[in-house]
Amino acid sequence: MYLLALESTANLAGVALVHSGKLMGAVQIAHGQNLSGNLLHATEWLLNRHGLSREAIRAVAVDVGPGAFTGLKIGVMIAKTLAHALNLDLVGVSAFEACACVMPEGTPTLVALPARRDALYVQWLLPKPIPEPLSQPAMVLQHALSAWLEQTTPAREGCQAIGSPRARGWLEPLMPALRWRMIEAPPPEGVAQVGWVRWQAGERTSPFQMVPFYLQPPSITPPGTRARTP
Amino acid sequence: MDWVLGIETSCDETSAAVLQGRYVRSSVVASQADLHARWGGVVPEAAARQHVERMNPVLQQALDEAGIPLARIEGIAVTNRPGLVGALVVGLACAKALAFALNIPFVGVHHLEGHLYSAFLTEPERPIPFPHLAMIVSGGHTELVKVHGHGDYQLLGHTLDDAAGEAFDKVARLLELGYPGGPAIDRWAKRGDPNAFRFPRAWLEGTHHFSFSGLKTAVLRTVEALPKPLSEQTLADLCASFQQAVVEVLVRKAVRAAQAEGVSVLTVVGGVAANSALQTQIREACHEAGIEVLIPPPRYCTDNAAMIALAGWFRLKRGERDDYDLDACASAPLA
Ligand SMILES: Nc1ncnc2c1ncn2[C@@H]1O[C@H](COP(=O)(O)OP(=O)(O)OP(=O)(O)O)[C@@H](O)[C@H]1O
Ligand SMILES: [Mg+2]
Repeated sequence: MYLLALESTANLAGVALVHSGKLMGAVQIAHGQNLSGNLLHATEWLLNRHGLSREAIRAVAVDVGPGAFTGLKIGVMIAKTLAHALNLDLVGVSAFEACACVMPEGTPTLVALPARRDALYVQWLLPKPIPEPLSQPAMVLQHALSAWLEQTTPAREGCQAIGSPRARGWLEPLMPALRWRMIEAPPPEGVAQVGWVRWQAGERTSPFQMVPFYLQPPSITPPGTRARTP
Repeated sequence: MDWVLGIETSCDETSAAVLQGRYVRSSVVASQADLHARWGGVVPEAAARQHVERMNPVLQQALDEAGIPLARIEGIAVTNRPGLVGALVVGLACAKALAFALNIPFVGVHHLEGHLYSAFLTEPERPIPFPHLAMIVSGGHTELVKVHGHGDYQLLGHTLDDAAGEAFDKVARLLELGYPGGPAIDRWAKRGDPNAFRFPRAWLEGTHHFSFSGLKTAVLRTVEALPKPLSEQTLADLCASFQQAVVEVLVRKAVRAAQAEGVSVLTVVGGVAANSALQTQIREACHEAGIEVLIPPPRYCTDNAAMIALAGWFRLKRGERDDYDLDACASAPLA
């Protein structure tokens, strides 16, 4: 009963393998250009290291976002296609859940990940096997962060945070009491752990239905046309 | 190598096809034209998101229509260049994951190579005639290519500015006919007089090159000088006259190139090959010149995965394989 976890929403892509709830291994790779190839190379490497064939995998969990648009699409596409082709169970995990789940339990946790150059993806969660949301997930512009914190912070004291260096740089002056864990990308083991618990609880998404959680509409510059027909 | 799956996501059509040898067993195209119509052109990020949503259902539909399970597929052909990178990577990720899961080979195919093979999808028994001349007239390209053999292409001429399809789309936008513009202009032109307006033709004598931006500007100037709103008849005349200017150049230059190269078969491929005036006039001209002309049915003129599968089938049959390191490229020459 192996579950494969895929993470590709940031500059470090990751793959992890869980067996009966136990993390067997995880790898992170700086992928540069060829993200889909590197995810598959890493998966192959991890399977080989444990002497497993691809048939040993029974489920696949994937970080569905938010995060880098292209990375998100590639990770979700690979997860859906593996599930489709090998008849695997498919489970989605948000980037916020993947991050919160590797933090000490019971302490309100702010997850803050890079969005556009001027914004962050943020959410408060309570770490648990499946982290519990304490606020809505949001994309917040740098200048609006202090108002957002004002509205959403669950407690003035005793909170922790996990996120990117840029997120810390922006948030620390606004909320100095936070204890930080720095990451470059959501941890693949977080995707694996939340994915495993979801899967065991019977949750599944159809590969024909899963869509990335972009949290932002595509940017559009409309030429604006009315159609006339003969 | 019997059963091959083709995948195409280079622009705004999500497409999958199943071939058994050279026989098309299914070809599914989910067009996003309606989605992009509201913006008057393809929005790359929206196109890529649509591909992610539709790829797996389209793939399953292609298998269902072919009547085979995924496990029977022996090889995969996928467009990896040129096109919108964000769109290409979706199809490419799907192809690689399938190759991994099924443990079968895959090859990346140049989108224009797919268009070249589209002329031969409906005659699977006929050996591909070499050498032949291909005129690719699509949204992004206008090229004359001498095809010496499989994978052996010589670029004789290309557009120096706008592609033919791009000219259709830009003029249609100017006349507010909606997106995509080619089919709309084709329809309007049927009720118009092709000699009503005298638009310039760029012959670029002594070369096999094309140029359409001057024509587009001439249409713009003419429209600016006309009283508004344009009457339906004026609109139809503008469409017919513009279309005639494009078609005349395409027809004459293609026939001349075929004669100069001494080839007896001409293929006309790409979205603009669906144009009714182009089809009529090029058939006539080729008939007079003793050249056989092959034009795919409309469903194979515009983007489709069947043509990619056919081009890939020949590559796979020759033993070509790509590995997981294959990347998507926004631009890449055919030859
Ligand atoms: N009946 C028609 N008459 C003229 N143009 C047409 C017709 N039907 C489609 N087109 C044009 O064909 C083009 C689309 O063709 P195609 O799908 O081959 O292009 P593309 O894939 O976007 O570009 P490329 O193949 O160069 O990357 C559009 O520009 C469209 O306006
Ligand atoms: Mg095309």
